[in-house]
Amino acid sequence: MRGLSLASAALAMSLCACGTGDDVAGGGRAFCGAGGELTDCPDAERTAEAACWRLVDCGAIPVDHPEEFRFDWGRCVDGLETMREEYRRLVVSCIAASTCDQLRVDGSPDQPNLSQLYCWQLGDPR
Amino acid sequence: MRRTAWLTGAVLLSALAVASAQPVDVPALAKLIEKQPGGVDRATWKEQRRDAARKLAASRDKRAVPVLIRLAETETFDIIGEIAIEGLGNLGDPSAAPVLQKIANDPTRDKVARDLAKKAIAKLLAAGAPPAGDASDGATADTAAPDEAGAAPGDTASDAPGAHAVVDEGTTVGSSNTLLGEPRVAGAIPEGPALPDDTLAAYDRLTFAIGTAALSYDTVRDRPAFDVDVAGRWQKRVDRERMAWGLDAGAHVVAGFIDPDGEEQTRGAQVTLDGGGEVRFYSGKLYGVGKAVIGAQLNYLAVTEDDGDRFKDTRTHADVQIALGGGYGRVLDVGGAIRVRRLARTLEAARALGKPIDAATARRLQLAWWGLRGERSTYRALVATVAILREAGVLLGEPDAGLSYELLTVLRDTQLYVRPSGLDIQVAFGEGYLLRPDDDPTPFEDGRVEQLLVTAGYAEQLQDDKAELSGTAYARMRLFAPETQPSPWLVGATGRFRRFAYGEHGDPLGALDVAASVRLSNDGCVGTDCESALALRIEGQLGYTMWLNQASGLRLAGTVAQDGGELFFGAELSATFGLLDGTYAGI
Repeated sequence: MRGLSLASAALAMSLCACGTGDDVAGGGRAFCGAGGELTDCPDAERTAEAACWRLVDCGAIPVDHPEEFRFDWGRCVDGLETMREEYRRLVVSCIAASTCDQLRVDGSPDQPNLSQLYCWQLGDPR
Repeated sequence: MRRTAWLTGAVLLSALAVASAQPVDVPALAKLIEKQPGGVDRATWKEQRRDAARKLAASRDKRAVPVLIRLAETETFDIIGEIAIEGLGNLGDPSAAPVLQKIANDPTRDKVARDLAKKAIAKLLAAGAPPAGDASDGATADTAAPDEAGAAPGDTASDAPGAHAVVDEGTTVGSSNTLLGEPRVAGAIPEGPALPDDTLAAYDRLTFAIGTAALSYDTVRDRPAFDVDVAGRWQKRVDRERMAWGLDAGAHVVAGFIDPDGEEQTRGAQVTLDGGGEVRFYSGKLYGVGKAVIGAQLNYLAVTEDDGDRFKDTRTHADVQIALGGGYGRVLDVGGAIRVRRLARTLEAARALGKPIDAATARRLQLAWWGLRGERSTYRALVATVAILREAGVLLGEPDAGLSYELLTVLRDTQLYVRPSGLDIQVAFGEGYLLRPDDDPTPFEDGRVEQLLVTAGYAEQLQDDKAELSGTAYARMRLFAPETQPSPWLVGATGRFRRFAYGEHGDPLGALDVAASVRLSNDGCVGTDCESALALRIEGQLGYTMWLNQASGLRLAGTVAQDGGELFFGAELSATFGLLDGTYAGI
């Protein structure tokens, strides 16, 4: 059921310039990460993968960091999937609903400081 | 003298009326028409039959109607058929409407018969519902309608769909058996919102989405947990000939509380509010546009770790932005107009389309549906639709069970929401102020932000509205950024083709869609830790959506994407729940 999410068609129809429909995932830095509300992108799906794509879209993390153990899309998904269920749900929802400016932190995108990433702080402290 | 003349005239009129309504021996005339009498040659009998048909047509006797209907249907090579058609119009009995309608639309009948049938239909409509008097017993053919206030459903002579008129919330009364069952309480048909006459299209959407809402506690782990993710959005837009305006407002709340055994505890809340508006002024297809948006997000976080360390954070972001520009054309949601077209096609296929649905009727239908958008049941929408179509002379006669079902499927068709059509190209300059936390260590956009925004959209409905081709292109670039802030830019395009599937009787089954997109961007970042990089993403998607009810459905899709040199494959199953869509398209 993790892939099942309830999304709003209307939410997908924002004023954003990069809105390409509610069924086309984004990707690549700066696709949504600039311009404020006028160009903000729709919420992400409520899945670990989609939440991490939003971090990429917002220029908060890289798609694939050439150095091992750097925080990139793959490690983001791994991190979410190892969290306890209730923590993961909260983090995914938080990322999905955040504006890009909330998600970018010091060092983004190549070396993001996760201690500044508000939504990640809601995650499993274990 | 004048009084005498008036009296004389009245007497003459009375005499004419009596003469014209002179009782005739209907069974005898019917028998003469059916069977050639002995000792009468065929040519003479033919003349006698025609005379008999004329007498029946002038009789105003209800019993003559089935005889004339039979003649109208079967006598295609003798003028008696045309006499019967004309007579049915004169008798004014609504039960003749389906046959007349069938003849009028039957290409195998000759033009004279078809034209006579149309004239007869017009007479039925113009007559308003004159009863066909039964000369034999003096009873009226007009089935007495139940009293509107006291009638109960089912009290009518006919329980066929459409035989009830809506009067109040959840209350129906039987319609009188007047011409074509025209509802007595026409005013009860919802009129919907008041839109200006030159409205091209309009919509009003209210959508709620609940991602997750969970509350749990167990005594084994002694861990209460609660989290919620809810959102709502309202959108309204009206497109008129010379201007268009739209409003959009939304709210989103994500909150959670997790309290495992021990010191550890997590509390967090995120509230996002946004709203915006757009207005356009047209001169031909060219337009000037102004937009304004505001947005705010509040984050609260409180975490206590196992060792007792505590961390609290509260942040506020806010955006206020406007954009001014110009453009060409417009893209409208024509879902309402497509629904009307599907109704017409359904009636035509059932040979029940009296005449094309004109603009006024199309408008009335769509606004009635809009007025009933909050109804869980489609009952009132069906009743109102049938009443409007019959009142307009589009649907003649009671729809039978099969046609009623097909009309219902059109009304319930979820694939007719958000069906764009048109071309729109827009260039705008945006100016805004972004309020960010003072201690934000990252060199991102803050304060005044200017940007160039370019968008283009195209959509077309194809294959009798069963397919849709659409595309968007967009570009934006930040202008005049200070050296300490980034200047990101983005260009992209998306194309999509959708094919809608229907069952044999118009049941919407789902939609197959193919989409492709390409995006190129640069974050234009600044700072010692950042190397600005060009990002390219190419993506393709194939999906199938199965509709459940109004604007709600399940979707399964597969995606393949190439991003930053990496290849990604994905599958997605999603559910969407929407309600309260009201739309209108005057094209």
